[in-house]
Parts: sequence; structure tokens; C-alpha cells
Amino acid sequence: MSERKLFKKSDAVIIIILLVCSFSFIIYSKENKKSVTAQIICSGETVKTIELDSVTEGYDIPLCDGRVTVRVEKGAVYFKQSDCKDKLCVKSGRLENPGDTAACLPEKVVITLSGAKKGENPDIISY
Amino acid sequence: MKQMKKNTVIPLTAVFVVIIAVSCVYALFFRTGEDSKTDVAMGTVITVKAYGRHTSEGVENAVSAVKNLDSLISKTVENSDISKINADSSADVNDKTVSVINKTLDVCRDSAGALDITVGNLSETWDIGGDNQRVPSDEELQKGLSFVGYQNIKISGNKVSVPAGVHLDLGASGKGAGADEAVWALKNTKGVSGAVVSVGGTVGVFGKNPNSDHWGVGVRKPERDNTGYIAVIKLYKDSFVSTSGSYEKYFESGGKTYHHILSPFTGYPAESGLKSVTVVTYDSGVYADSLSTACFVLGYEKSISLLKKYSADAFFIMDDGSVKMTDGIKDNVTMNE
Repeated sequence: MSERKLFKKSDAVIIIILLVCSFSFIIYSKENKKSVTAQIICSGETVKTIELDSVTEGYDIPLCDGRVTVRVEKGAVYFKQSDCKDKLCVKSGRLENPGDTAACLPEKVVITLSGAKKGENPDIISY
Repeated sequence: MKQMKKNTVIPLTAVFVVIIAVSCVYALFFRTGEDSKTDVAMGTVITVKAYGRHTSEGVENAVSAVKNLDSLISKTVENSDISKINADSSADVNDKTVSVINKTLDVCRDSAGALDITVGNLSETWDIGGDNQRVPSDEELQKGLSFVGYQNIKISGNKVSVPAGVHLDLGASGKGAGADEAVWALKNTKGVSGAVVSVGGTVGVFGKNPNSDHWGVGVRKPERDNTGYIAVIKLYKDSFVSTSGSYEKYFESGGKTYHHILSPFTGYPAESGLKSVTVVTYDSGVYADSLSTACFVLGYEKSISLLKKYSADAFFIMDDGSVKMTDGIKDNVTMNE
């Protein structure tokens, strides 16, 4: 009667497959973050987080009791309307790229984009 | 069948033990926590991202530090140190205010007045970005220019004095000072191994980036809408980055566009052949911020010797859209195609 080996070749294959699967999951989790995410912040608190590539149909988000409206579209977000005097937030246009930031300072509303696109992705933008 | 089950139990158990061990090692030694916060302070947007093991405390400390500094050096905050100086021409002020004024004055002197923090009256006359923005008359401009002269600021201990009627404006260095405060707060929070902060676009980076061997700071395209970044500067050590451009605050009148960076020499928005300039320093946010304004006023050629004096680097975007940069960063810039 032959003595059984602790590990057979087939066991080693299973081990390798499982290890590859577990590492792939870690890598996938990191890679999966590489889409553009918009954060809408009111007075320092995040009120909405949106994966912009997942948006299928555009919609409006009313904020500050309707004084500010943020428009969300596929791949972009922007200040559509604001009751503030200078309208700098509306003039700042569409935000599409990671690092883009726009704010309505009188209403303390900030939209900021994070994530990654092809090429060298900055950690932050100087402007 | 029973034998087969027995044969597979030990290897499978071993596999699970290995997976759990790998996961534990990853979680304990390689996984870095991350916290970030975006808020409004200093009349602008501040963003703090911290990496390490006790990051939330670091982020809160950094945001508080910026807000505290704002209460000292903002000219629009009632009872701030700067408001007191502007109201009474003299005031005893906080050590931090003295430090920011002194450092900014270094750049005022070294740029021969291309940066001047006594432009407060002039900028109030233009009120760019304010409720009453307009092109002043020649008479108003001459009056505003008559107050300009950083040489007339007197500092003795904590007492800062200016000639009667002169208004100080730290708009050119305040965001850099905020970045300094935020980075200092993060560095002094145990467990923060690296961080990136932005105070209205003036950036500070320090420590280790868990996602790369460098920090990447994007240079915004110098356009008037949010059109992303034109280049990324890779930074391999603690640094501060500040950009001054003609695109950020502006208004149009009589078919002409007027931006917010005023030349202390002419009283008008500076025209030096630049759309924007991004300055990198390796020791101080105040210097980065002050230098970017001074360089914008001076233009490319005259900026080089000033930058050398501070061992600083810069990325220039010229009016025709071409770019120039100093030797210290030219190998570390990636253009965004």
C-alpha cells in the first residue's frame, strides 16, 4: 500500500488557482475604482456620490431648499442654476475630468470629481 | 469515497489557511487607510486627503488649522488681524500673522514690487469677483496706486503698522499659508504617513503616496471653464504647488476681459505674455503662492532669476498656448494628450 503524499499535483493546481483568484480580487477591487466619481458636498458634508459613467439619463438635484440646482448627465455634472449673485458656479461649466472642482461659495456647495482616466492621473489639481 | 474526502480535507484546509494568512498580512502591513474631506474656507474650496492609520483625525486637524488661520489673515473677516491693521493702521497681531506677512514681504522685496501686499485699496477699487466690479477711472487708479508701497510696512515684534489709509491684502499668499498650516497639522498627527491638500488650488504634498512612488499634481488648463488639466508634475519629495492664471476671476466690460491679478506698477490686470504660471517650492506654501503671483506679473524671462533665488521650479503657459518650464521639473512633467 503506497503512502499518501500530503500534497498531490492536483492539490497544488487548486492552491495556485485559489491564490490567483484571491489576488485577482484584490487587483480587481483597485482597478474597479478607475471610473469618474462625482461628490456633491454641502457645508462640508457629502450629500451625494455618483458614478458618472453609470448615469443613463440626465437628472437634476435640487439643493439648499431649491436655491441651487446641480445637473447630472452621463460622464458630466455641473451647476445648472443658483440664486447666488456672481453665478461663478454656473459659469464654471461642465465637470468631466478627475480633479475638476466647482463651487458655489455663497451656498457652500462643492462638486468635486475623483477617479482615474487613461494616462498619468494626478492626485490633485493646482489652479 | 471516504478516502477521497479525507485526502482533500488537509490540502483544502491548508489552502484556506494560506488565503487567510495572505489576507491578514495584506491588511496588517500593506493596506493603508485613507480619509478625505472637502470644505469651504478662506473664501475658497479646501480639500484634504490623508493616508495612514489614523487619517480622520489628521484631516479634521488640517481643516481646523486652515479655518483658524483664515480668522487671522482674511481681510473680510471682522476682527481678523488684517482687518484690525486696515482699520487702525496699526495692530498687535498673532505670531502666525507676522510670519505670513514677513515671508510674503521676502517675495515683495525680491521681485522688486511685482508682488505687493499693499494693493488692498487698488483691488477694492476694481472689486473683481465682487458685487461692484468695474473698470476704475484714471483718477481712481492713481489714488489706489498712491497707497502701494510694501517698503512702508513696519514690523516690530508683533506690532504691524502701515501708513494711514493703506489696506493690506494677503490674497496672493493666504492660500499658500493655509496649505502650510494644513500640512503642518497633518505632519503632527501621529499615524498620518502621507497627505495631499489643496487650499483653493494651492497644493501641498508630503510623505508617502501609497498608490505611487510620487505625487502627481495636475496643472489646470488655462481656460475659463473646467476643462481638466494640461499636464501632470510628478513630485518625489515634499512640495508646494501654486498656480496663478488669468482665467479664474475676471469680468468683461466694453468688449474687453479684465482678470484679477493686478500689476502693482500699472494698477491694471497684469499682461506679461502668460496665461498661467505654476510654481513648485520644496519648503513653503507661502513662497509658492507669492512667487506664482510675482512671476505672473513679471513674465517668463524676468521670473527665472527670482525662482532661482528660492530654489523653486515653474511651469509657464504662454499666451500663444506654448509651454516652458525650468530644468528642475522638465523630466518630471507629463503632458496630458
